[in-house]
Amino acid sequence: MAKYNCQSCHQLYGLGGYLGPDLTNIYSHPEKGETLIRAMLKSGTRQMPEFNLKEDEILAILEFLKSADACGKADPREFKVNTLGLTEKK
Amino acid sequence: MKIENGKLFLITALILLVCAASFGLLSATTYLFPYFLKEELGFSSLRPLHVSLAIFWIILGATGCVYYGIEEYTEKKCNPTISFLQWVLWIIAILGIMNNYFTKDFEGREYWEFRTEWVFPILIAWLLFMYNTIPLLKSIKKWPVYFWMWFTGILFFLFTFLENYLWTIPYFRENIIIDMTIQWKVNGSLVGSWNQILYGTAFFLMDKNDDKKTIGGSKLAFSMYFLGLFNLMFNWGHHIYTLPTENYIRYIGYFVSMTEWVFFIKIVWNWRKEIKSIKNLNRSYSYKFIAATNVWVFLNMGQAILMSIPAVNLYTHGTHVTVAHAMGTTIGINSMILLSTCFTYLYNSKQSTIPNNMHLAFWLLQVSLFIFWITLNWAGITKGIWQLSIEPIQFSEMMNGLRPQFQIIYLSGIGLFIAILLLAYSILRKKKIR
Repeated sequence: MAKYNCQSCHQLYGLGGYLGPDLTNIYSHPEKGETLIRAMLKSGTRQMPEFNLKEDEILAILEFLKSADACGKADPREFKVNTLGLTEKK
Repeated sequence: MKIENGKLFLITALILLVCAASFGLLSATTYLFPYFLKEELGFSSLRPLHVSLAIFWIILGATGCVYYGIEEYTEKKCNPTISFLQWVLWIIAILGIMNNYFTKDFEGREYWEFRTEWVFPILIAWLLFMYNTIPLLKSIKKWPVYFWMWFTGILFFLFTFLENYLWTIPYFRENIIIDMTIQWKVNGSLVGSWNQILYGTAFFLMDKNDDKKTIGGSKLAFSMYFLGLFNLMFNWGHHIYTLPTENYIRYIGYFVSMTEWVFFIKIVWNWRKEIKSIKNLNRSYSYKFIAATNVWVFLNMGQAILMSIPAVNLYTHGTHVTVAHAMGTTIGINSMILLSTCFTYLYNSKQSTIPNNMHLAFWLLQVSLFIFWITLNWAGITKGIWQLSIEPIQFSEMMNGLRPQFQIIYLSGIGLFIAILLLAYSILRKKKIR
């Protein structure tokens, strides 16, 4: 991910760039997941270039996103606010 | 070879500022025109070009401030050969880093996305800076507050810069949460370290303008220094509220952030006095930029304190509110102090009368920055509401909805770019000749 500077556009846990979506839980997202990630990496988007990645690079990115996903949830809707103004997992 | 240590770094920094602003404008263009430079450079190169050059403007500018300040206060000269060598190492590193970005040869973590080999010239340059300045600091027995701030900033930059590269050790790199926690701890502390140098410079400039020279030794200034130091060490928790880390990190981050209310209340308390003093003092640009800094400290600190409340942070985290905070502090606070130093030491106001375009540039900078800052906050709040909305709206749809805000941000960005260009041109054109 660092090699292609994905963090300039994408985020993990809301940290990173602002041009693309947060990728923390994209791997386990019911409508996205591995198939969409592969498609995006292959064809790019309006703003995201085609990186012409090799298969082993795609696999490495998928593995990274899988492990990032397994660490926790980044969706703010997963949190609730307590009386002290602190947030905690629902 | 006759080298003025402060001048060498301040002029280089000013040139870097113009480059940073140019790449900032190009980066912003891609928000409105997605195919702009997409294949040639792309946002993945434009963003680090803008960010790294802006960081180098601040670090090299801060270096120039320390050289000017220490040499003036101690009435002694730092070794010009060492400072020149330090400068050469910085230039080598910056050129190498720019080459990495242009050729898309990335490595590292956010804000420091260049090949690790460029760490070494920066590190050696920093050690030379310490070797050149600390003996002069030590030559004064009773340190004014700005000496403490410069010393603390220089020392902490070294520690946190090294900490920034802990990811090169597999233990830290292989655990994503540890890696990100360290990265965002470091980003907070690095900013804190150059803030110490620049706030110290602001105190120094205020003392320079004050005949009684009471600011540098005042209890208030020292209490501000200790609070700043405390925040530098512990006020990074709010960066990572959403990371699945230990709860105590969140509690400490929240508690420490709330101590900033002391700063905030003090600023409001001093408000009337500040306005009176502005009226009484001469209208030099060096003072005007310091006065503008006070306004931006007020706005950004208010925003930062609110963002540090976890319940608010839930909405603002990962949105353009964070960008507003970063832009507000780097342009509104850091750059205003640096421009004040440039006007104090580089600009020769005695050569002739101050041209009208200076007034235009000063106000264009302030007004453009305010519109830029407000609109970024507006875009951020809109995204924050989207993040917490129950209705599933696609990311691209949300971004399309932000197009009016991005257009205003772009136009105000053009205003910022023109203002920076005018200011840098005026300063460089009317350099003091000694």
